[in-house]
Amino acid sequence: MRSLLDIQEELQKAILCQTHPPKLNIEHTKRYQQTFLNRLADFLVAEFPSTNDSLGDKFEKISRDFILKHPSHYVTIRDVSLNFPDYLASINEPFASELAHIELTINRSVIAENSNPLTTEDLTNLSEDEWGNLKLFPNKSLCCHSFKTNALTSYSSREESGSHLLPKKLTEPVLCWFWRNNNQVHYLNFSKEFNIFIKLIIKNATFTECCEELLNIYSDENEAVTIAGQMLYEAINLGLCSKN
Amino acid sequence: MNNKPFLGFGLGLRPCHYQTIIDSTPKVDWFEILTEDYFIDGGPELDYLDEINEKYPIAMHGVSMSIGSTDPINTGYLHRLKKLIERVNPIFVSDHLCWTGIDGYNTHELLPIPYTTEALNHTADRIKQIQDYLGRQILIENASTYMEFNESEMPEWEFLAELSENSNCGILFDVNNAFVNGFNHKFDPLQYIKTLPKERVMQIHIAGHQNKGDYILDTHNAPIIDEVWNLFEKSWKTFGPVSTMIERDDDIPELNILVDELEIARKIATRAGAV
Ligand SMILES: [Fe+2]
Repeated sequence: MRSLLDIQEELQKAILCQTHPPKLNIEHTKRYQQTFLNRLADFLVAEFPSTNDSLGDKFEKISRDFILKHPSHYVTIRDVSLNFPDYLASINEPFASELAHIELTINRSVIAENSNPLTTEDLTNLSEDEWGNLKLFPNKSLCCHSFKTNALTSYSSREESGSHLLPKKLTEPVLCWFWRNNNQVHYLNFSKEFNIFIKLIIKNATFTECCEELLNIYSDENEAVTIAGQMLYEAINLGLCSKN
Repeated sequence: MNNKPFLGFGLGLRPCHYQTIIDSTPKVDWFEILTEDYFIDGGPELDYLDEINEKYPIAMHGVSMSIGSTDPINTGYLHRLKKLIERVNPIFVSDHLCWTGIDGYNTHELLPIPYTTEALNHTADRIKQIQDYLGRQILIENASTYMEFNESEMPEWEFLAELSENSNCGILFDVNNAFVNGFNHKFDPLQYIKTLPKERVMQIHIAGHQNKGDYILDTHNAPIIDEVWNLFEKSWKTFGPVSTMIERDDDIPELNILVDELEIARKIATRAGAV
């Protein structure tokens, strides 16, 4: 008589490897094999509609291969999506991989920790010392991804007009930021200088440290301080800063 | 065990209905959430949950406790579960009589267990440990299954009845699952109603399914069929008033359609003479 462990090893192997072990009823095993694949494949379709649209008929086979090659260790089905963009990259689908990164990042932004947004009013009565020591914190959902293809513009095109652009490699990578503000997910790319400033916020730099860093770009100290101030107000208005 | 809370008639809380619930405060007595959907750090879903929780009692229903698994209990899972319980303060916390994976894997399927003494002792022991950790009783639901094991030493209704006594857990009796398993494994689902200890049946699920010809798949994507309504009526006649909810997870219609279906449940319960 098989133990509970024997039975579980046998059935799990049959499901994850889609094999037909001799001791299990083949028809009954098939039911579990199918519901397992269908549930996760349907989930990936729902999580990655834009990627699905771009890959067309290929999506189904790719997603089923992914499910079998990367069995879930997660307690929530939501997390099954985490490795899908990298999997697409590993099978030489760079454009689809970047589309999937966009969809994954947007979905994760929606469920990220809430932020306590820093407002311009918080800065109104700061003394010069307080300005200098002002420690910056990012919006809790803020993250970025570097794109080597036109996936981002193609994603936007599909959102606006319903169809993707032809995949194209970019001449140089573009950094895009994703964050949730007022329960809306935003994604934008910024100037190189502003990218530096946001990265300083992520490192919890003080305003003085931001000014010092910008001095490497703007040699005049007053100019660096003015621009750092302008960037901070812009970051606040975009909802990129948190109070803690 | 005699003070089982009776919440009335509820529905599964699904994101597509959030705004309608808030705007129209429908005639639903309580809502049941899918526990793992709210294992998240923030965002609008938790805001909606909090807002709806101010107006309605909430029950938590999970799919990843993997109570019958031979793996060690997943303490990370329990930690997240406890945190959500603290936030929601639910009336019931439930999961299924099943396992979902071993060796750290999660198939995200409610897999069947053999109804053996070994499995009974193992599962009862885990339920006790989990109840101790959570500091509360949990409910265990009879799951739909598509496979049986030669090793089974008792029928599934006896297994669940004994499990609840041995572990002191409550029972979430899914009437549709009893019907599905009766069809799939050729037994009379009334056996469940005759056998389950009345005082431990705290909650009832009813749902629709898909008949594939040679077996029934528990899909929760269709209205409840007459045979399941009949079993539901018999359940109420036997168990008395039990907090009842309709599960709908696929092809989810407008909320008012489900509220109407809930009205059928209310009428049947009244006819059963238990309310
Ligand atoms: Fe159920």
